[in-house]
Amino acid sequence: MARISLSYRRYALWLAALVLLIYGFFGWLAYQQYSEARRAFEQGEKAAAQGEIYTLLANTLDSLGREADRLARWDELYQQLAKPTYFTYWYAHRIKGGHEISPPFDALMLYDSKGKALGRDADNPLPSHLGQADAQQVFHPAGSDVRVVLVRPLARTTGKEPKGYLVLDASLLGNLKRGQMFVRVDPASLSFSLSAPTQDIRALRQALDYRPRDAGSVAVVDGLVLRMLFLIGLLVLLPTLGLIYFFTRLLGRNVRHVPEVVAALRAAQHAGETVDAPPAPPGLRIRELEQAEQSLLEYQRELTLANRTLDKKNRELWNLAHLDALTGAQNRRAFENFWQTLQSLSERKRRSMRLMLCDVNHFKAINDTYGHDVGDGVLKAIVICLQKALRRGEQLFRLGGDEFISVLLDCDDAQATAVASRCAAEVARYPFRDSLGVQEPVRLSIGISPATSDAGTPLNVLLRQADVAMYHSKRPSSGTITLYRDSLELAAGSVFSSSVNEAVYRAVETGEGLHMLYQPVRDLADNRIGYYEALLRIRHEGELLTPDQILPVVESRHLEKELDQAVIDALLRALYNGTIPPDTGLSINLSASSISSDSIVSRLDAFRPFLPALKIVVEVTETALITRMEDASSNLMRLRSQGFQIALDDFGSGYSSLRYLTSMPVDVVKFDISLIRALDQEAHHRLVAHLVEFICSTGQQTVAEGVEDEFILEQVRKMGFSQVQGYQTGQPQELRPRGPQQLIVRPG
Amino acid sequence: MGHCGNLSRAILMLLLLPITAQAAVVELDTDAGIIATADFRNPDGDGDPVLILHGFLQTRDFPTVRRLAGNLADEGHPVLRPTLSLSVPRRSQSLKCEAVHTHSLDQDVQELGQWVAWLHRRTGRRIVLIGHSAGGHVITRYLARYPDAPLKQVILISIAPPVGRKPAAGEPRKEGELAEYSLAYCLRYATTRSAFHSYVDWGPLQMIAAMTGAQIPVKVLVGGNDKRLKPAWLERLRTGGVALAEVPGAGHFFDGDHEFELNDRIDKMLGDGD
Repeated sequence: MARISLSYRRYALWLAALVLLIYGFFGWLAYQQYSEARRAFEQGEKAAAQGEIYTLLANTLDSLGREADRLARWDELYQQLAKPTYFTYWYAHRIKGGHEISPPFDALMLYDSKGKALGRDADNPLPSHLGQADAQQVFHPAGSDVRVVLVRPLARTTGKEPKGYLVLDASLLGNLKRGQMFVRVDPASLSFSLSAPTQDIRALRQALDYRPRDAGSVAVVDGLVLRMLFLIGLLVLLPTLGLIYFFTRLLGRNVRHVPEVVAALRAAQHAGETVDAPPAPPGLRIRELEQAEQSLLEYQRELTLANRTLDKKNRELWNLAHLDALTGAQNRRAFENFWQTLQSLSERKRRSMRLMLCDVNHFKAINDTYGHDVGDGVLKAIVICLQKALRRGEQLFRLGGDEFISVLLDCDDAQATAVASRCAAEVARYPFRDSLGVQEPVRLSIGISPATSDAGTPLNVLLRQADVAMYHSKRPSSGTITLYRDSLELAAGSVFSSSVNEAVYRAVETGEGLHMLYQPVRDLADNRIGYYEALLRIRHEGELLTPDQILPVVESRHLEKELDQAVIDALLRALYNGTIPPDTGLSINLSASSISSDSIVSRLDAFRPFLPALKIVVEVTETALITRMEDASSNLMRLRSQGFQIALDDFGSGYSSLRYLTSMPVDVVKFDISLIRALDQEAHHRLVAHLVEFICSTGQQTVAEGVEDEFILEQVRKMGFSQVQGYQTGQPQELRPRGPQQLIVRPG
Repeated sequence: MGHCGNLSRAILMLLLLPITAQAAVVELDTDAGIIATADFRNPDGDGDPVLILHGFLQTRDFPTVRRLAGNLADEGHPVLRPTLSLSVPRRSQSLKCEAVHTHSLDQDVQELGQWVAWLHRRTGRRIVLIGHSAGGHVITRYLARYPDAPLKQVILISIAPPVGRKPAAGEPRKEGELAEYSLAYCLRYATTRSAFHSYVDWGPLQMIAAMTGAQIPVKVLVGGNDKRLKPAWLERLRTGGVALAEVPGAGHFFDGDHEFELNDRIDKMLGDGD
C-alpha cells in the first residue's frame, strides 16, 4: 500500500479543510436538529397557545362573572332600587362619572323587579327593558370585539324574589387583553368573528382569532441560532486557523531546520567528520524536533566514529587478509590478488617476468630445536633480508610456512639470478647466531621460473616451474639457486605425479611395492662385509622409485614415521627369512621423526633377538639429530644400551657435525659423499684426514660413503677410514632369503 | 317614647344563629321602611347590655367597634352592634362619600332608638350606649331627644362634632334636590339641604349640652394623639363639664397597643357605672 507523503503545509491545509468540513457537518447537523426541534416546538406552542387563549378567555369570563357578583352585592344598587329618586344623579356621577364599574365594565343598568330600567342614557347600549329570556351571560358581536352582557338578580336574601336586576356590559376583547399575561399568544392579534349573539362558550372560542406569539419569536430564535452558529464557527475556526497558521510557521521553521541539519550531517558524513548542529531558528522550539536533531547529531557522531573504527578495522582486516601478521610481508591472499593482476599483463611484460620462489633449508628443524619464537625471528629476518635484496617495486609474498615468493618484472635469467644471489647473500650475512642464537647456518633454497617462450603459458605453470626449481635446490649437491629447465621436470615429476603418490602411499600403508636393496659396508681391514645398509626402493610401473623420488612425497605428506615402520617390517621379514647373511649386519635408516619418537625403542624391540648374531646399526642423519635433539639422544642411548649401534649418516653435509659427535651417542660416523668426492682437493683432503683421525681417536668407527672408484678407495684407506661404502666396494643389491633363521633368544 | 310605640310593628328579629349561640345577626325594619341589621353577641350575658354605634358612614364591622364589642362580649356583656342603614337596605358596606346621601341625623337617631328599645326589651336591663367618633354625635342627639331612654350610662369615644360646608354655588333652592356639600371627612358629599343641615346643625354646643344635661353618666374618652379632634373641641369638652378621659398616645381609632388600653378603660367605666 502506497503511503502518502506530503509537506507539512499540505497537512496543515488538509487539517484546516478537515476542521471546516467537520464544523460544517456538525453545524448542518445542529441546524437540522434545531429545525426539527423548532417544528416540534411550533406545534407545541400552537397547542399551548390555544390552551393559553382558552384559559385566558375562561379566566376573563370568570373574572367578569365574579366582578358582576361583587357589584350585585353593592349597597348603592340596593339603595337605588329602594329609592330610585336620585338614580339619574347617581348613574351620572357614580356610574358614568365614577370608577365603580369600569374596569371591567363599560355600562351598567339597573332594572326593577319588572325588568324596567331605572333610568335612560343614550350612551348606554343596554336595553330599557330586560327580557324574560335574558340569560346571565350573553355574547353579542361587536365588529372584531364581543360585548359580554351579564345579568344578575339583586336580592339581599337567598330564595327571595329579586328586588331588581343588575345588567352589565363589558368588552370581551378589552378585558381579555387587560391584565392578562400572554406568553404564547400575541395579544395584538386577538379578534372575534362572532356573527350572532350566543351564550355558547364553544361558539365564542370558534369565533376567536389569534396568532401565537412564537411565530415571531421563533424567527428571532432562528436568527439567534444562526448567529450563534456563525459566532461559534468564528470562535472555532478563527482560533483553529490561527493555531494552524501559528504551528505551521512554528513547525515550518523547525521542520525546515531538520533538513538543514541532515544536509550538514550528510556533508560531514562524506567528509568523515563530526558536525555541530546548525544554529536553531529563532522563536519557539519544538523539543521533540530538537531531540530528533540532537539524536541525528549524536547518531552522526557515533556513525562517524563507527566508520572510523570500521575503516581502521577494515584496514586491519585488509592487513590481516593481505599481510602476514608475523613478518609483515604480503600473504598468500595478497599474492593471489596480485596474481590476478598479472593476468592482465601484456605478452611482452609477461615474457620478461620471472618468479622467484624460496624457502628456508631445514626450517622445521630450526623451529623444533630453538622453538617457535626463534623460528618466527628467523622468518622475520628472512623477510628483512629479502626485501632489502629485492629491487625497487618488487613485492615479497609469504606463501606459508617458510616459503616466500616474489615476482620479478622486466627481468631476464641473469638478472633474476643476480637478485636471487643477493637474497641468498643477504640471508647468509644476517647474524642469526648473534641475534637469535641459531648455531646452524640459515640458508635459502631458491627456484626461479624461466622466461616464457610461449605467450599462452599460464602463470600457474610458471609458479609450478619455480617450485620445481626450488625443490631441486634442496637436493644435496645442488646449488642454492636453481633456474628452471625442462630436465628438472622429469626429476620432479615423481613428486607431483599422482601415480607416484599412490605408489608411495600404497607401499607405506600395505608394504606393497616396497623393495629393499642392500649395499654392503666393508671393513677396510679385511675387506669383509661388516653389514649391509638397507636401501629403500618402491616398485612402480616396472621401475624402482629411488629416495629422490620417494622422500619428497613422504616429507611433503609427513609420512616419515609410517614409512620407517614399513621399512622396519620389511627388514624384520628379511631377518626372519634369512635374507641377511650371518656374521654380517644390517643398518637401518630412520627419519628424524622416528628417532625423536618415544615409541622407536619399542618399535625396534623386534630386532633385539637378532642382535647376538647380527650387527644392527641405526643410521640417523644430522638433520634428524637437530630435531628434538634431547629426545633423539635419549632414544639413541637406550637403543645403544640394548646392543644397537648408532651411525651418524651424511656427516659433513649438515650444520654442526662435530658438535653432534661430542654430544651424541654415536658409534659410527658415515662421511657424506660430498666430502669423499672432494678428496682430490688438497685442503679438503687434509681436513677429512684430520677428521677421520680425530674421530678414530674417540673410538668411533668411520665409514666413507660414495667410494666410486679405486682412487677414492685408496685415498680413504690411507686416511684410516674403518669402512667403506660405494659402487667400488659393493653396489646396492638384492639378497636372496636363505630360509627362516633360528633365533637366539637372549635372556632378559 | 314615640319610638317605643313603633317597636311592635317594626322590629323583626331574625336570628341567623341559635339564640344560645354567641353571635347572631338581627334585622330591624326601620320606620323609614329600610331593613337595618345588627350583630348581637352574648345575648345571655350577665353584664350590662351594651350597644355600640359606629362612626360616620361606617358599619358595625369597623375594627375599633368590632374589637371593642368582642372584648365586652367576652367580659360577659350582651353586646348589640348595629349598622345604621343610611337609607340602604341591609347595608353591609361603608357608604362612599360620593354616593347619594339621602339619610339624615334624625333617621339615624330614630334607628338608634329602635335598637335601644329592642335591646332593652331583649335583655330587660338598662343599656350602656357606647359611640365611636360620629356615632357619639348621633348618641348626643339621641340623649337630647329621648332623655328617658332606658340607659345606664353613655361612653363616647373619640367624639367629634360634624364639620360641613355648603356648596360653593350655593345650596339648592328646592328641598329634595341634591347638591355636593362637604361634611366631615367627605369633601364631596351629595345630599339634600335638609339632610345636610340635620347633621351640621347639631353642633358642639348642642352636643356638650346634651352630654352634661343627661340624667345618666356621660363619659368621654379621647386619644392623647388624636389628630382628628381639634384642640378647641377638646377644650370645649373640658370647659363644658364633660367627664373627659384621655388615653395618652392613642389615636382616633385606638389602634395597636392602645386597643387594650381602650378595653381596660371601657371595662373600668362600665364597672364605675355600677
